[in-house]
Amino acid sequence: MTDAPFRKSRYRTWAETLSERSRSALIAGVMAALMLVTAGLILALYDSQTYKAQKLREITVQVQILAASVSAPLVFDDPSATREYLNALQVNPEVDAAAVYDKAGVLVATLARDAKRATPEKAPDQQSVFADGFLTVVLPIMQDTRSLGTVYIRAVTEPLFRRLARYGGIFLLVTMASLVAAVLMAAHSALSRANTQLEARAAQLAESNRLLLVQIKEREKAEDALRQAQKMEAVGQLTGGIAHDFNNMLAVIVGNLSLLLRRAAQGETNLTRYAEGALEGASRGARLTQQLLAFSRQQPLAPVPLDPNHLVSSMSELLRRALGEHIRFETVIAGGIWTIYADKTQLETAVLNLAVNARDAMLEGGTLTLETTNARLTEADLEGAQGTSSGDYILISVTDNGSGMTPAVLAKAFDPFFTTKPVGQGTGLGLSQVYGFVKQSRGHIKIQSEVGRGTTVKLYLPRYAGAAKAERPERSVHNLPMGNAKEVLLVVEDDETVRRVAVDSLRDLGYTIYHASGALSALSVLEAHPEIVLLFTDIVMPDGNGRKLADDALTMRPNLKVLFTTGYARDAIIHNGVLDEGVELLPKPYSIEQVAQKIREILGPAKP
Amino acid sequence: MRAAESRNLEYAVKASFLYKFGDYVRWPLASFPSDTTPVVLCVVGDDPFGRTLDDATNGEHIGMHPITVRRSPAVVTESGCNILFTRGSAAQSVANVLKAVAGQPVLTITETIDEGPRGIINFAIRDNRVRFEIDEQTATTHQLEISSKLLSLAVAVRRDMP
Repeated sequence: MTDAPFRKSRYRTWAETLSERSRSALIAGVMAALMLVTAGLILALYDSQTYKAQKLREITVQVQILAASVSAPLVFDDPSATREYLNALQVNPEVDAAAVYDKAGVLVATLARDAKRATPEKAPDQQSVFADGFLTVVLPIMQDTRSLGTVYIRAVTEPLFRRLARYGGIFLLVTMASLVAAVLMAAHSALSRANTQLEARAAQLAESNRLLLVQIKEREKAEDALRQAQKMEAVGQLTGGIAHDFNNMLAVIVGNLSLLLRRAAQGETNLTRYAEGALEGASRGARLTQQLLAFSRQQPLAPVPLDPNHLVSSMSELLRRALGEHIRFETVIAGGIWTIYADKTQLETAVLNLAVNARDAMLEGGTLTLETTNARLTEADLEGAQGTSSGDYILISVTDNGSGMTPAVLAKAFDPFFTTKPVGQGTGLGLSQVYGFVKQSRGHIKIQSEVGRGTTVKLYLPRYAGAAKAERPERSVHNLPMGNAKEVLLVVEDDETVRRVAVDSLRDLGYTIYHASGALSALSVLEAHPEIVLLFTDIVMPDGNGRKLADDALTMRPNLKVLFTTGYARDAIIHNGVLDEGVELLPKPYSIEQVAQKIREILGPAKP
Repeated sequence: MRAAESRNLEYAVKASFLYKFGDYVRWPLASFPSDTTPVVLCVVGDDPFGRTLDDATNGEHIGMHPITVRRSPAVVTESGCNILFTRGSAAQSVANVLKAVAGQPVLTITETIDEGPRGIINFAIRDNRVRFEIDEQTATTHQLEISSKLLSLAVAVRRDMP
């Protein structure tokens, strides 16, 4: 009996695997079937009684028909005719035996299927009886009131079993139908269950999708960070050279100014050239810092239409500084150069990175050539590079005659963090930045290098259909937008020298100036002088943040205009690389032209 | 069975048939004004039955109608008979008897063996049994309808030809 528990558990497991609903559906179906079977049995039993009555009627009718048929033959004593009518009963399979007797009870004609069950010799008296699976009906043949004879018929009654079998077929069909219905219901509930599962799965997928999108966003953020790191790397490359160059520039400034003082003390009045010389040095320095700040500023990608030649020429100063004195810098610029569409900062960084690489390959000195030209690329040229299509391109190439790269190095050149430089001298992010930029701009990059001969890096950038943005020409000294005495400004700057220069410059431009060295004093000045229309303040100050000062000032004077200035690239004022709406910023160092223009812009046209 | 006994039996059977035919014939309504109007069974000419016929018909009915037996040597058209059996006689031959009641609602019965004149029903002996032939055509002219049950028992039937 060890099998029994096992088998039972198998059935139980099977039953448990059905869901609640399909199980109850199945049970309902089975119950319906059982009920039908029971009803059928009852019907059969009831039918059994009615069956007997019906059978009796049937056979009685047959007897009566036979009696009517044989009455005339009996009257006219025609046994052959009698026999003929009797034999007609043979076709009825239910008739087991039949006989006709004359009025004396003598057998006139007989019919029997089985000789062993012959008809009685004399007419029996019984009317009808059910016995042994047979129904026997005996009736007199009447004519008017006379009896002509007797008819006897014995018929087979359908056994109950056969009848049940007959009904059984029908019941089976009905049971099957109800089982099918139950199965259908079970299937339906299984389907709806599967449907719910599918919906849950779909919801899961939607959730995964959402998470994926989140991850993509994070990746983009990481890529931005990488770009920034690459930028800083490029910047880092410069600092050494830059610091050195700044020293030189300062020397120029200091030298000129000391000369100026000496000459002034000696009584000379024509001191312009010394001042101009100093200014020249200063502005060169200013331009450099601007470029550096631009690099290190975290800006989002902003492609614009650019003129490559203009870019190259505006970078020349910077590149010369980066390369140093032992490397000759040449530019070859093609006329009629097409416009490109790229992020200005990214492109400048790329060119800078290439220049720095070239410099490091020419430690003994050499020549760096920066070239721009229009080009047409075919599918063959592109070598099946993804994201590119044949057409018009602008080629910017950087060529050096340095140590060159071996094929092995060439293969890994674009890999991030891959570098041939010793530790501390480079992070290996330079070329990967160039590669990333080129790909982003839907361009193509090619390196040709030969060990001992040099390297050429070719950047192909797609041609842009529109025109490059024209840059505003710098105003000359004689076109300064001036102010007038009625326009009152407040200058806030903690550094005394810087403040003195700013105040003097602005007074020179015609404005009436009040000044303060910090936020607190600025606020009291503002309060005392309601005629002040513009607040010109530094942002980072020891005793108070310029931004906060502006907020407080605006609370006091809602119509007050504000112009910020700062020496820092990043500040509390700048969010995500975009200035807050309505906030004006003039980065240091600024020229008098720039400050004049900016203030004029803010105040609007001068009122007479 | 000896000839005499056989003949007795033959006419006993025929006698019973005479009135038994009545159950299978339909007369016009006018023949029997009421249910109890007796059926007149005539024997015209020679009477081969004698008492047998009276014994046979005694107490019998055709339907509800009692039976009256009449004997006469001859008949006229207004015979007053419903059933008429004839063997003919010197007074009136079978043919004349039949002619006399032609078209009348009388069931004429004969026992002609040869080609002679026959009534509507004509007795015939087959296989030692009393059988009969039926002339349905003549029955129709006599305004009589013969039941198909009787017709089916006849050994020969003369029918109306369409």
